[in-house]
Amino acid sequence: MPLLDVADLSATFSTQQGDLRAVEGVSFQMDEGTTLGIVGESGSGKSVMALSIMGLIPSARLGGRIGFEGDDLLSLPDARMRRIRGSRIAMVFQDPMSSLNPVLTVGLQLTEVIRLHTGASRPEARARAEELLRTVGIPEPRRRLKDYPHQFSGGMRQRVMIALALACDPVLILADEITTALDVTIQAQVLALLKTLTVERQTALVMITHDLGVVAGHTDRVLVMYGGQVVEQATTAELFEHPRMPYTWGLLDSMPRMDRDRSKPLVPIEGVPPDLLDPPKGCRFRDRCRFARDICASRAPDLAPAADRPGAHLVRCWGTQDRAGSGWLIGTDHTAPTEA
Amino acid sequence: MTGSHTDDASRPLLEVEDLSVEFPLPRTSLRNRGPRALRAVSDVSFTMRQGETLSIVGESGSGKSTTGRAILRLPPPTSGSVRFDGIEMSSLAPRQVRDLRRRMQMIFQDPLASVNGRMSVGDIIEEPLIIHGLGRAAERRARIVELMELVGLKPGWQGRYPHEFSGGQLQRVGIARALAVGPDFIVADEPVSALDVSVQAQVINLLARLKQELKLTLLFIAHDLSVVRQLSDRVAVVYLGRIIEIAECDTLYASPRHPYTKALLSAVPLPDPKAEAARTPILLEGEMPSPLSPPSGCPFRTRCWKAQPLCAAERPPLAPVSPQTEVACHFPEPAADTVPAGQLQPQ
Ligand SMILES: Nc1ncnc2c1ncn2[C@@H]1O[C@H](COP(=O)(O)OP(=O)(O)OP(=O)(O)O)[C@@H](O)[C@H]1O
Ligand SMILES: Nc1ncnc2c1ncn2[C@@H]1O[C@H](COP(=O)(O)OP(=O)(O)O)[C@@H](O)[C@H]1O
Ligand code: SF4
Ligand code: SF4
Ligand SMILES: [Mg+2]
Ligand SMILES: [Mg+2]
Repeated sequence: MPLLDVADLSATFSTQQGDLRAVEGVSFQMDEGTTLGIVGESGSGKSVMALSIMGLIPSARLGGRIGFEGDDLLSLPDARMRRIRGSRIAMVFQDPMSSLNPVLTVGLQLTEVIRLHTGASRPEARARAEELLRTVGIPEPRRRLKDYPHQFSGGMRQRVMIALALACDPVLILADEITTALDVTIQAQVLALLKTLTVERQTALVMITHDLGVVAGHTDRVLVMYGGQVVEQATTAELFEHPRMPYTWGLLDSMPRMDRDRSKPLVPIEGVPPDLLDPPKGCRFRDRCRFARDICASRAPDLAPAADRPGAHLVRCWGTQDRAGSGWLIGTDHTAPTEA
Repeated sequence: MTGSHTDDASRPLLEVEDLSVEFPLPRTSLRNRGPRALRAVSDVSFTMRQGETLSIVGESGSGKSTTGRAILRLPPPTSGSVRFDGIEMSSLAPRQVRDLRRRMQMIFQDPLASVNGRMSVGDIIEEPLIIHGLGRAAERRARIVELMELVGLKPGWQGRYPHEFSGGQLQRVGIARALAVGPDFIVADEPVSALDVSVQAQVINLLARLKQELKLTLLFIAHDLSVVRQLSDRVAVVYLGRIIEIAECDTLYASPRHPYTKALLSAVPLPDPKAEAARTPILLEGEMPSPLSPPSGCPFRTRCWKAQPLCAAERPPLAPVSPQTEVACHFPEPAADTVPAGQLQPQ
């Protein structure tokens, strides 16, 4: 049984302009010790999805199923959900200041969490807190326990947050853009720390990012999200070697890359992401897709196996998915024409 | 509008010499000891040729924005000299500085930070023309249309308001506003950092096109090394307020000579799982020290894996190690034997 089994998850907000479906029909599974990358543009639904798993988004109507250690998190009573959150599942956010209490020392915040979840005595909890700060690579941990959050730099605060997430030894960590605001050398430190956790503690990690470079080096599987939906889903190696969704091609072609000839101009994705209050009929990427045909406007494609990559590679595109020989293929050579 | 005043192709358009910027620290009851000022930029020197793009890269707090702003005297540097087109800027009266700003403009990460949110985008683009007293109303209107077309915005949108635009479109508005008065020198401070990669590519391509078409000299400030590589002729790497390496772009990426540059490049994630699996980033320990208590000697020595006693005793000066590279290190990395083909770009 997988550790996490998300099936047909949806999240809808009621707004003054009408219903906004931020997440729609998302399904995936995760085992212990694995890392799942979630990529997509801003507004594509990454954070709402993670918050839904955490049960931290009361204003949204959730649908589907979130299987976790034999329970469906969506139907658990609040009290049990609270216990799971923080003891079995933990989340780390992009802006650590928003989840650390600025007027309490880091030590107090850590020991509170530890005592709450383990019932440890105060001295035991202190010792454990010190050990956690050391685990996440904070020098002089005993002294730093007495410091307030603002006395730490951005990279160190992010580590404090990871320490806080580890305090109860969770089996699943959701990390939402946690290295986005960090400089590249500090990002490398934090990513190395997370990798150690997944290997040594067998923690499962959901890594939300918009950086395909981070995904390439630090995940086992990837979900590509667009307009609230998963549009491509595969192992990381498969996704980068055989991308099969025009949106993913667009992301790869628009990235400036140090391993490519820089004299060629980048190929941007023109246009803007769909308005989720009024999503387009048919394929949500159609307005921006160079390969769009008539059917793309009239019918929305499902997430289905890629025609030439059956097995585990799923894609939401009429052009590249297997339609039992009934359709056309746009081909897989996406090498985009360079600008005139 | 304003053309270049530099006819002598060999003379740099911009000459920055020993530029330093300090911010005074207020004395409070809690803090009445320690340094009286924070030194954000120390002894920065470089020149820029007409039409050249020089990038400044470095981590947060390293002094990139402060350097860019000091060149435009926003605020003026604490010491050092900035010559623009041969004119020593510190010798100018405030009014003359303002006039010179017609030739020196700035683009920001947040294009709306400096404008009134209730203005239409047409007004936002027009405002610098009014401030500088350029053109009559009809001429200004024609200029707005011209500028909007130049940056890829529909002129029909000039009556719309900022909240109706996406991030990438707003950055185009910011670029049109900077170009309105016809500058030949632009400081662009993280203009694409807040944008999604798909939109970022649009703005990078726009900047590349504009610098060609308008023969702009561009000082590009960024922390993303992949973005910098796409646009630059030369790159300056800064650390704790100082340039620690400055080199021709392809040389810097193929053969970094400062240990910090090498570590930076090794830490940029590549969107290629095989390449990622095959390499190990150089993991630096700790973080950049506070500019309030910089280390003695080499600013990088607290994180450098090559540090020797000499590094604590003497600060290495920025000095040429090859025709393409200047580096500030007592023990620079050896030059890479060959620059891989395909990474060299013919100029
Ligand atoms: N509380 C809320 N009420 C209404 N709409 C919301 C709420 N939270 C999120 N949304 C909408 O849901 C969609 C997805 O938001 P979400 O923050 O999950 O995207 P994201 O991919 O994580 O974006 P970013 O990268 O900018 O954080 C967006 O259209 C957003 O405006
Ligand atoms: N107005 C100011 N007052 C005091 N310190 C400042 C001010 N502006 C910048 N600094 C400090 O100067 C240093 C360099 O800042 P900055 O140039 O903004 O860095 P960045 O490279 O991120 O753009 C930082 O330590 C910053 O905190
Ligand atoms: S379904 Fe059609 S419009 Fe959508 S990505 Fe595929 S080809 Fe493009
Ligand atoms: S001078 Fe010394 S400490 Fe500084 S970068 Fe060079 S080797 Fe490292
Ligand atoms: Mg988000
Ligand atoms: Mg800055």
